[in-house]
Amino acid sequence: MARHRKSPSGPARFVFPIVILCLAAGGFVFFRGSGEGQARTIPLLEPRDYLDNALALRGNTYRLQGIVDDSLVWTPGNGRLISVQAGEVLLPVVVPREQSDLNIQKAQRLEFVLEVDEEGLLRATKVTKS
Amino acid sequence: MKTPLAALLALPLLALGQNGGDAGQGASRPPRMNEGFIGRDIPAFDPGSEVVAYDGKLWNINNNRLFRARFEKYLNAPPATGEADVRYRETIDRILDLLSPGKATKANVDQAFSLLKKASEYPDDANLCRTMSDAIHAARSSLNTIEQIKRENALLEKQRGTAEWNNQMAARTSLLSTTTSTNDSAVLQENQKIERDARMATTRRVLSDITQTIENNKLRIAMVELNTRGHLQALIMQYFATRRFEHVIIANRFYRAIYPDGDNSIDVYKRMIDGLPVNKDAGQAKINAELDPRVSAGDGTVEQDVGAGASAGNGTQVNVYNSPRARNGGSFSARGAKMGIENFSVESLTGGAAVAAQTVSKLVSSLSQIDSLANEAIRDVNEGVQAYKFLLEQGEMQSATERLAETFAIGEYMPSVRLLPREDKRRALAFTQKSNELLAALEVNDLTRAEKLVHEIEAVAADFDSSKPLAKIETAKTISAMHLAKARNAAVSGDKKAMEDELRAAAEIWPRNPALAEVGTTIFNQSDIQQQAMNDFDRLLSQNNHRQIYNDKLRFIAAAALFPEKQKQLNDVLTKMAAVETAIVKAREISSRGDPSGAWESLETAHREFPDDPELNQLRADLTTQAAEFVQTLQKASSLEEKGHTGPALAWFLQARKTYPPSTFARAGIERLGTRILPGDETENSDR
Repeated sequence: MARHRKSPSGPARFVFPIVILCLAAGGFVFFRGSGEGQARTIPLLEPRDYLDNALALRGNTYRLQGIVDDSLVWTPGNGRLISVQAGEVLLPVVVPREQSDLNIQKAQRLEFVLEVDEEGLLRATKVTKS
Repeated sequence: MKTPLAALLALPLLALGQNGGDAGQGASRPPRMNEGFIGRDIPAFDPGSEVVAYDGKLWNINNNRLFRARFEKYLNAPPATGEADVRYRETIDRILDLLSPGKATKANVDQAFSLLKKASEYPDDANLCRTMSDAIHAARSSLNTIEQIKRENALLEKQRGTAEWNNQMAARTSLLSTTTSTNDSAVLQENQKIERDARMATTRRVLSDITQTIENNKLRIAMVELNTRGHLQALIMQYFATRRFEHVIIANRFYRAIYPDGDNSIDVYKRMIDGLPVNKDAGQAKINAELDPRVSAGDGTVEQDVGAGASAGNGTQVNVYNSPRARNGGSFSARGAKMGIENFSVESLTGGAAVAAQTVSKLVSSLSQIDSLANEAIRDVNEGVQAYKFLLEQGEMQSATERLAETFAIGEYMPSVRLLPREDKRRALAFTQKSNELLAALEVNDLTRAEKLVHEIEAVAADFDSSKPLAKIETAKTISAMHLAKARNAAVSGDKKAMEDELRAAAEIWPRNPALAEVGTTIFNQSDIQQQAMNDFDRLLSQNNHRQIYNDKLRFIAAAALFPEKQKQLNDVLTKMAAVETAIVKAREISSRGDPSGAWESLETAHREFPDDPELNQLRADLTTQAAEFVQTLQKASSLEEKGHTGPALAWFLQARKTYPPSTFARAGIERLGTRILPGDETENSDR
């Protein structure tokens, strides 16, 4: 006798479609946020390293997450200079005018993409709330 | 001087300055030194005029020295007891005896005249008798000349009588002439007049000549007599003025023998003296007097006029006319006395004699007066010598010396003065020398020596009044001490000019004051200390060692009192050091509250201004240790800022502020770098 293929029955017959759907949703999410995913490839700035040898970091781009400590200087034309607490260290970060569409306030937790300029100054190229 | 006569006779020496009251006339005023406090009681010497003002009197140093020298020379000279001196005295005494009243016969006068030449051979006479002999000889010769002229005039008088007779005869008209008619008579009279005039022309001229000659001779007699009398009178007056009293008497007696007419007036001499130009400002003058008549005569004739005229110099003029209508005649003129005066040096005695002669001429009017004055002077001199000897025995050296000086001034050439034993004179010499030394010491304000001399003089002269010079000396000393005290005070107060002025004043009053050197040394030592302190100040200032200056501030403040320019520098240093000290005190206070970082910051500001202050550095080092993390953070930030590493520098300043939030250095650094990073016209800081 030919044995007849026996169709799954019961709850099992629903597991496979759910898995497929989840994979499809995950793929969607992954591919939809491909830019952010790119930022995550930027290395994090180690604050202590910056303090100890900032000049060696010139020309590099880093990612920094920290809490806004203080707004040091603000000029309409040039942007804002803020101090960011990263761990135990306070770092000065220049937020150019182009990046000022985000309201920056004290005690905000922000994530910066930074460039170290020739004077060792941290200039933000992207600021996001984290 | 004891009598007016003595004063009169002392004029020559006074003119030489024995009494400075006269000598000082015309001189510049004495210096005004010391005027105001005690007037002019301090001896003051004016080197310009060489006049010393002392006790209200003026002393001419030169003239006074001259008299002192003469007097001292006399006091050192041996008595005039040598053989020549004795013979001279005998000769003079013999002459005086031969000419004495009652003995002045012609023979005695001749004998005395011959002795004049012998007397002039001795040195003491100084050839005065020869001069007298020459004058007497000239007078006698003039008398012979006068007699000869008189005899000539007698002959001329006879000739004039004859000429007058001839003239009268020539004027008569001849009686032998006859007239025939009226017309003939008129013609005849006219002819007779012509003949008479022709005859009288000769006799009239002869008569005029004779008359003129007689008048000329009369004038010659007058001038010759004027000449010789004037010579002798001037000689007598000169002897008197030069205090040669014996010669005065001798010459006067010869004068009376030569001119026995009894006319003793000295009018001729007075006219000579009155005409002397005397320059009082020049002090003394030398007389040049000479009787040298210069006679000129002339004659002429104009018809119907006969006359004569004569004139002589010095106001003497004679005109003689025989006829009031005369326009013709002789003229005669003569110049009489020739006199001159010239200034001479003070050492010449002749000038004094000239001054005396002028004065004497105003006081006497006859030779008899001169004779009596000379006798009185001789008596006065002899009395003065006797008084000296008596005072010498009494030990009253001051009075004795004064009497001898007066006697010497009057009768320097008198026998009684010349014969005084040297031993007697030496005692006066010792006193005189000390007196002169005292005067010299006072002249130069050597008060120490003057005081010593006063005591020495007191020891040898019982009658010396020391109170007056001692009072002056003590007064001067006191004033000098006052000036020194003022100088000392001025030095302490830093008034350099006043100090110098007072030292100078003290030195002027008493140049050899021992205290002057002592005070001067003290002041100058003090000045040395001050100078040393200022040198130290300059050195520390150049080393920027303000701390040492601050620690020695009392020494430098005192020393800088005399140096205004240093005072400002010192004040600047002390002001800054006061800020340093304030910072140190403040830092210690903050540190004591447990805030080493704040204390360090407080000190750091002062350290940047005074990095070399050791005390501040020590405290700073201690605080640096206590606030090591904060200090290192700041230093790291500053170091990076200096290198232009703005980013990490700002990060370190932020770290410093985190470590010590009140930090002014961190805040300033953050502001400074923030402004540099974001330059703009608007800034904000939420913490600010």
